[in-house]
Amino acid sequence: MNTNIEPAVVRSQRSLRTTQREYETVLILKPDANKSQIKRIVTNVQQMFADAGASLISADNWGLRTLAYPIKRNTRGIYLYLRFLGGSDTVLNFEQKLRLTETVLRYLTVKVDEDIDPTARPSEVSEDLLEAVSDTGPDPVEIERQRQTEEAAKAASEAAAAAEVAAAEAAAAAPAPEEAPAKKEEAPAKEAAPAAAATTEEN
Amino acid sequence: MSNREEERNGRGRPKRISPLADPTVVIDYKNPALLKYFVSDRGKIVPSRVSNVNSRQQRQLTRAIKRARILALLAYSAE
Repeated sequence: MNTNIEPAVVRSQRSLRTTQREYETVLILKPDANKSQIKRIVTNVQQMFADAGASLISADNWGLRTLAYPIKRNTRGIYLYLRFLGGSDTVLNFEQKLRLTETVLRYLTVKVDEDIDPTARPSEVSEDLLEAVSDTGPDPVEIERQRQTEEAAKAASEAAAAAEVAAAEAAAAAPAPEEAPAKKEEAPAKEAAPAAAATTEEN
Repeated sequence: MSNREEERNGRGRPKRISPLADPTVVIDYKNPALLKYFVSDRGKIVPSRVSNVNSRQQRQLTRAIKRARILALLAYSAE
């Protein structure tokens, strides 16, 4: 009998076998979490896994995203994605730690695969990856919104330019003595544009 | 005329092509863009008799949508 195992430590049956389970966890962090905080979380987790015989396989930062509903009054959050090998005890200790971390708003751990040979799955985690994970990209929703406003502005300026051209054409076609500023006369210019086209067709 | 009738599924509703028609699509809680197709405007899960999803895929969808809601990728309810 092995009397070295401490009774207080939770151990899974699987941890006594040679295979492990593959889990993935998505964390939502507070939107104001900075680079060093994120890096500290990831390195702490990595250290914790290493101590427990588990291993962090990969990590990813999905960037700052807009939440579908507010969590603890935060409308946005930084999404972190972690993949690791371990047993049920790893998940238990890991989630307990996350609950005590104030930066973590929400987490979800999902089992991906059973009976993984840990030696067959090398860890992709490197110093570069940790650095990349700590960097939070901008919100894709924000980018999309910015792109749309830019496009709208571009379309508006193009429309204004087209209206100006039409107004100039109308001014050239019609013998109008007074030259009114084209921008103020957008509506009449639009009306004049098909008229000008019609006259050119007649010619 | 007949061509137009074929596009409708007998109830006057134009037929939409399911994103699950593509066999490479995997139902995953990390893909809210796909799951949004199977959620009503109010955020409810669309019944399979409406979306014409087979029962196995409906079970996968339900699970994925519920997981996505936990992670605030989908709303529990809209409005």
